[in-house]
Amino acid sequence: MNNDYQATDKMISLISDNYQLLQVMSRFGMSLGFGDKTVAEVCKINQVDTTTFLAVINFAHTGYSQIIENIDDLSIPSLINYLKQSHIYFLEFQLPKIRKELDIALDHDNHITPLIIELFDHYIISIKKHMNYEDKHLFSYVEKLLHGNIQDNIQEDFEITTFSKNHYLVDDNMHEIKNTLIKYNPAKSNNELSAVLYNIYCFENELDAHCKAEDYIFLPAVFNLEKKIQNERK
Amino acid sequence: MKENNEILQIIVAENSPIIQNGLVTLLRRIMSFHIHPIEVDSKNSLENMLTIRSIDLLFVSPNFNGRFDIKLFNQKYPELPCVAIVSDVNHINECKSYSEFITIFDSLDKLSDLIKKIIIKKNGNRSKSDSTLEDTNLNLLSNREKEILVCLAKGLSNKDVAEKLCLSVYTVMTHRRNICNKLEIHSIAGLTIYAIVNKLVNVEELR
Repeated sequence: MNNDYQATDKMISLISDNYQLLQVMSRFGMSLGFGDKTVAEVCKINQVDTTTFLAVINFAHTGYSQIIENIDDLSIPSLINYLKQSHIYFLEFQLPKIRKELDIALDHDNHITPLIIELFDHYIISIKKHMNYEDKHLFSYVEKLLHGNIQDNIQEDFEITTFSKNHYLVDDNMHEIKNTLIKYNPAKSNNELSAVLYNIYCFENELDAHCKAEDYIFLPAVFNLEKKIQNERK
Repeated sequence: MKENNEILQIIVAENSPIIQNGLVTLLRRIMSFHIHPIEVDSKNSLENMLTIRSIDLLFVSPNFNGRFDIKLFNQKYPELPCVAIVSDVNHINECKSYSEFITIFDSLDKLSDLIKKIIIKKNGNRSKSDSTLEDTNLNLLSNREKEILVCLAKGLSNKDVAEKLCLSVYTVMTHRRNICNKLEIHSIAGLTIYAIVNKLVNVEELR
């Protein structure tokens, strides 16, 4: 009996076990309607690397703390694809959705409503900036590494350890939005506002999970790749 | 209650899964800090984590992967506090080179106090600013700060505020920083909300 999820497990049993894995699946580009197929079969159909998919879901399942030992077995292109899809999901789906819900829940006769929306827009901008930076600099650097198009002195191009040591996604705006909503409650109805607040907290959890996958799966894998390339050159 | 928003990155290097998971579970239960525990099973993962993340604290078994060479480790990472995980109390005297030790029989409170002690020591002068923050949190803004807050809420720039109140721009900036720290609000929109709900400004004035 194994206590990690395996390639031979049925996909449906994974989801029944932990519904949050639905999000991971969808961001790997896997669609529903997989019948009774196993994890390996669903991965194959969707051209996703099974080991990488299992690593991500097992990391999530153990509470984002267990560092993966055989990190060299992971497919970095699969991880990049997953992380890029997550960015699209956050920026193009979740954030606009929450903004719309917030707009509906707030009382527009209250003069602090536009200020809350303003805070939320600042929040969106800072998240966007963070993710666009990763898309533009981090991922493109790693893609260059994968294709061997890298300068003799790797560090000149992008300093991965400087990036990873300072990689935090904290934004004061969101803290202020939540405090304002909870403390001053300028809402039309409590149900709607509570629902938005709940969605905001879920969003933050998802974002945190995403950052942890970057910090503890993706960046260690890239770091190993860098070391390998450097050793080969010696 | 969490005392601050900083997340502590704490590595647990221990080969016994029961002890490792037990410690990780307790770390997550500590109320006064946000802790992100990181479980590593090999020296290689440990080294990698220390290279690519900013780690605040290491819990390590003296028997980690055979024998953990604490003296060599201290030379390599002199800044990092290391706490020995002691599973056999007869071996406590072997932990002299570690910053601290914890035995597997210690309570959650003891663990929490130990972490607090280490973090305060590590942050040194930074803990001073923590205590001033605690004091000021309870106090309302001074009259001068309220005046400045009102100006900011009305959309005045630092320079405008300085001219209006006959202060230097530098003084306004200092006040502003203090206001933001006291209220834990850092944006103009947030400050304006605070000024409105606390009736420091009249909404009509803002238009």
